[in-house]
Amino acid sequence: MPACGGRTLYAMTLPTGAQLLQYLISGLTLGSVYGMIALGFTLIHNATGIVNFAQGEFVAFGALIALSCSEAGLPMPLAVLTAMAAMTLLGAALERAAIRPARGASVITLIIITIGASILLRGIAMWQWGPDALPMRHFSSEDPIHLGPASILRQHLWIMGIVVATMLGLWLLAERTQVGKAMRACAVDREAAQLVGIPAARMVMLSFALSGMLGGLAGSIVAPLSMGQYNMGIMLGLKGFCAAILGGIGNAPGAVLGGLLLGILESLGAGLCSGMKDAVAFGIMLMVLLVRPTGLLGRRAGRGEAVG
Amino acid sequence: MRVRSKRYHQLAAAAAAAAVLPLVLPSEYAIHLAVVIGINAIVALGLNLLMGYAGQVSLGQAAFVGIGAYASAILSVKAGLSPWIGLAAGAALGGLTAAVVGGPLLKLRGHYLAMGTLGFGMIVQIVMVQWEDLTEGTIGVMGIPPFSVAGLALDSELRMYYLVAASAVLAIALAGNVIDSRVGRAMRAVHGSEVAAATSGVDTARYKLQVFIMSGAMAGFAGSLHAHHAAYVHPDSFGFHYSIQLVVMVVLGGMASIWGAVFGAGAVTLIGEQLRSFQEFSTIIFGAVLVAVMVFMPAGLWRGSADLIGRLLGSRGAGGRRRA
Amino acid sequence: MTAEVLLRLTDVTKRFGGLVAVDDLTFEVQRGQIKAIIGPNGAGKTTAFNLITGVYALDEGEIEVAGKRASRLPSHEVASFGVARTFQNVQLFGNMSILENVMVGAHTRAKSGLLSASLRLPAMRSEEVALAERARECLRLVGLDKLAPEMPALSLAFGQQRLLEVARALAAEPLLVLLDEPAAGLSTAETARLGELVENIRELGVTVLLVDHDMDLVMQISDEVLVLDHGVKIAEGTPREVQRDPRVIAAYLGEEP
Repeated sequence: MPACGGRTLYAMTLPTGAQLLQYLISGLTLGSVYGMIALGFTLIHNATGIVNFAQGEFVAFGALIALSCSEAGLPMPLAVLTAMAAMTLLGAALERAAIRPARGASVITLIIITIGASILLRGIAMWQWGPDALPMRHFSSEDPIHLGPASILRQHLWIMGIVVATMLGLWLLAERTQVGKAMRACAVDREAAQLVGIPAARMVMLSFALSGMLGGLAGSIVAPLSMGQYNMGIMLGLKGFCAAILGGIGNAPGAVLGGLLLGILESLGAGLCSGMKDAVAFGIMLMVLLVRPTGLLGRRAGRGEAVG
Repeated sequence: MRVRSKRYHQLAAAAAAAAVLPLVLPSEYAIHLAVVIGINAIVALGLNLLMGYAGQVSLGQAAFVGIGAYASAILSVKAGLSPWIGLAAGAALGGLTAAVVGGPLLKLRGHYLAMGTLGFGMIVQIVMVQWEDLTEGTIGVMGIPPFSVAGLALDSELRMYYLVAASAVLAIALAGNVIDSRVGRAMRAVHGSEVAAATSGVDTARYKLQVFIMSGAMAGFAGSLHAHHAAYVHPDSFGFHYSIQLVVMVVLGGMASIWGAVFGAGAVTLIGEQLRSFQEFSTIIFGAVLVAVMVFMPAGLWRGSADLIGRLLGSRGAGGRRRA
Repeated sequence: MTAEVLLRLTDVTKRFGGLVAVDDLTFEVQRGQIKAIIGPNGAGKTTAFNLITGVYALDEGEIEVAGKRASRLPSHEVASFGVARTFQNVQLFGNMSILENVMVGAHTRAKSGLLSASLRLPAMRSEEVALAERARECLRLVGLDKLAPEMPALSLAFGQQRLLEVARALAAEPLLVLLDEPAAGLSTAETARLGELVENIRELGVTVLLVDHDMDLVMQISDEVLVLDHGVKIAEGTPREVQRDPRVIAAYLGEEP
């Protein structure tokens, strides 16, 4: 593994234009996936104020279920839909079994509950799928499309397309449907929403279900590129987290923007120095938290909520 | 006053129990586990001061343990210094790092502080992997010498046990002293009501930073003990997973409880070992237990089980009355 | 009585977004006075307290305590000038005992730090004894000395919790104590005892500024009353003067003057 610390520093070289384009493509792809995961965080955070540390496990399960279904001969769309459906159920079940009974618990307790859930899910994933990384077929041909000096995989296009379509769908859901409006009302002021007759408890469960579905979808579309592994959710989840903070936690467009930015920066950073790939994400997250905790598009102007 | 003398009695009893414990432990391996528990207990005590008493979450505490471990390992292996200097340096560097990052980090609250400390921990681990000249990267530092006292090397589990046990008892005494003082009350006041603490004249930022530094130094100290016990340090030992385990020790044992932190360190270490025999089910069981405890006993296993038993007995009594 | 100004607010303004919570407020509190701020809900009374104690940063104006500038300082520094307070929504340290709560109040009266605490140095121990003694005295003053001092603070009845906050404020040996709705939620008997307590506090040489809705209490114990409405001072004077002021009557009847 090439590293950039210490003795291998000389390996650092400036990228060419073609390489930059390549980084941009892979950055945008990865960034779309981060954005989708960040959106999952955002949905739950808005409905409950909780940061769900099991979000990454939704992604891992999505990937593993989709690849198993596809392996078993299910057509790809069906495999992806199965993964999404399963994760929707899992999200709702998590809320019902572990979050609802702990209502009113302290921040630390809630953090530990979702971390515990993530450990449990990871254990189940390892038991079911084993410790090794498993491959998944691409959605269509694996031949790359050449764009001048750079090339793009069809799967890259699939990922970006599906993420854009999903964003659009969620936007329509939030803006045009009764349920979406109710969810947004709960996010702004839960008590007031309850007063006007919105079933807040059901909205919380719905946010977990939707968030699970998003995780499942993110996992299924990324698995052909990254392979599926029981512990893939740890890093993906944490990166989604960084993206959510970068964009401004609680802000849906911010989550997507944060994801894309993070993906690109990470891809460029990794291009310069592969060992520092993860440091980019966490470094950015720290910087954002310290300089502007509300993130790029944080809608709450004050630092009050995040900072004393 | 009564509370304080009760505390000293408990401490004396614990010291006595720790002194005779190796006599009843069945094997070298059991003593080894006791050493690991002692080391974890020191970290958990510091973290409980921070989380349980002062109310500030840290999901990056493993980083301070790692900093202490690497400082001690590098000083003794590469610079050939005495492990005791390493121990002092480990604690000092843990505290110093906390002092540097604590200033900006502790301005964050709740979930944001959790994420900030998590990010800090991740970055420290990446530095451990990447700064190969100093840390040997993913190979880790090997051949770390044991402590020695007057020419006697603490190279057996038993000898190491006594050093760790003495350190842990000292840490318990120290934590108890701090909690029961002007500084400790100020820290707890920050947790109880930050605004009331400030208007009572407590410089909240200063006390948050002090407790953060103290927890960092305790973690660094424990890290050095770990390095000279294991004779080997590796970045994987100080990652997110260990940070979570540490938080679980505090929470499982019971927040704002000194003995709870020690109990939690023991429970998590032993559960981890016990679960190994379940192999692939170990993580599943650990996760499930964690969720269940947090949902049903948010006060921790220690107090939680007492409450639960009380409730069961109480409800049975009530049922009896209803039937009568 | 030589009038010595202990607290002076000059043209103090605080905005929350578009809302002006305190608007160009100017007033003084003389040493040894009991002064009350009254006004309808949302008049800016608690905001004024939060500005004086540095909980909120003011947007404009100056605040002086005993001749020293207290505006734009953090709360703990304002406290060190001798300003202590209680809270409308009681803010006790729920994780501590009754005695410890009051001992935190005396925080500025002691100085032992982390090192002397860790090692329990002799100086720290004698300081602790003095602090505990001081705290017991304050508990006696507010009439909570019959309770076991190790009891958790939140196990107290509501009225007692309010008194415990007063004890905590007094432990700082303040020059000025701000009481934010001390009578809210108290029974008539408790309110009567509170009135006596406030007068006793003044006897100790502590100046009192209070906010309350209990007009009987306010008019009975206050030397001066200041009336706020929508963040603006509409009247200031003796209880008798204020009660006759047509603008005050209008504000309380909910009409514009």
